[in-house]
Amino acid sequence: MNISPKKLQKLILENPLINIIDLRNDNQKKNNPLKNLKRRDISFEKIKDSDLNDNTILICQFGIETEKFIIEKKLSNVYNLIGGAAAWNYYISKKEDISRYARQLVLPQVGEKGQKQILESKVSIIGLGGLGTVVAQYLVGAGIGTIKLIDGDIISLTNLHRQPIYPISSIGDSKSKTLKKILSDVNENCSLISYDEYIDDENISEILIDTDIIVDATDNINSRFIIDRFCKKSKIPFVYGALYKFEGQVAVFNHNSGISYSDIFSNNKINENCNDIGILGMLPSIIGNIQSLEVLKIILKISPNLSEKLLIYDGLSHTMEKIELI
Amino acid sequence: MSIEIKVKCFAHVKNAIGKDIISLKMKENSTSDDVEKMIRKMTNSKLNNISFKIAVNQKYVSSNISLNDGDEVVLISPVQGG
Repeated sequence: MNISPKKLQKLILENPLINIIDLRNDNQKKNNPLKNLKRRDISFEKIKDSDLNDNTILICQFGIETEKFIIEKKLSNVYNLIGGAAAWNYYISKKEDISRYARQLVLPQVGEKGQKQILESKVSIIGLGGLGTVVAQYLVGAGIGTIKLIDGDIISLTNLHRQPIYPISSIGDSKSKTLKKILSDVNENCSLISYDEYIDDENISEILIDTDIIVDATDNINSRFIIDRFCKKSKIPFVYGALYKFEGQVAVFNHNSGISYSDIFSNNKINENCNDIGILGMLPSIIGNIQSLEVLKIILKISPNLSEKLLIYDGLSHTMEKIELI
Repeated sequence: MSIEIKVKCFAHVKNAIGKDIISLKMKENSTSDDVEKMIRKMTNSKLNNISFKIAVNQKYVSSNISLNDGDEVVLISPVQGG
């Protein structure tokens, strides 16, 4: 059985003598001492059946090893603290439950510090079609603190094969407002703000104020130049994504004032988008997920990333070409 | 003497040529710009409205460079679907 830090605190108030056991190693205990929690320290190697009674709570660093231990030993009345010591300490200091992120917390590149960075990040997604709906879902899931959802478009029947998050009943409704409503139920940690308008040179500064990273999920080159100009001026990175039939491109521009979209692409007069040339619904999902991954890598300062690189993915052959842009 | 250049085709180039990869036999000392000219010639006027950036051996080249036998060239075109 699993228990969240919030529920554990409630349980302790009801029963202060509850049996809590910290199974972490000495190094983990030294580096991340448990805050405000009466417990016994026993190692995985030394714990005996007699140490456990009904409603015992087991704690490890991220709630992964204890969960495995409980399953292997078939312990029916013993609880695993979800997210482990990392989630407990975060809850005590911030009153915010991060146990839902246990599976990403355990990654050395994330951890408690990285999750805090994710929770405090502000990301704007421009365009809520095939790419943007996917990016929004995974960034909400990851725990981004504030996400601006920007698109002046309405949902149409021919969007749904590649934007299946929108229900058929939402046809004719605003994409930004509908997506905000749907995703508001997914993660209470994430603050969602919708803008039912297209960006232009006049409104972009006002809409994108207080943004750390911009996701370009638009469907036209002109919008990308507007985003690029703003990002260069404001020194904000933008994660570019674009599609062509079975292909997609992803890059991170303006990262640390690095190479920009306009350094690579000219304003070609290409009058084509997914409506004209066709697209399978899966392709924006693949490319949008790569964009989401790059957003988290920027927040967590993980390298290698796609800063100063252009990734071209071909969905027919499943080949990728990664081009160094400097 | 001639050199052989491998052109990896994406997006508009792939659409115009109809292949993922083609090999071009070129004169020694040919350049990246020569590849673009040859591709444009091969595809008649299909790529007239599109400007390309060029990558050689997975590296973007901002100016015209000489090519060597076996080099891989990509013509990068902007795509806009989302």
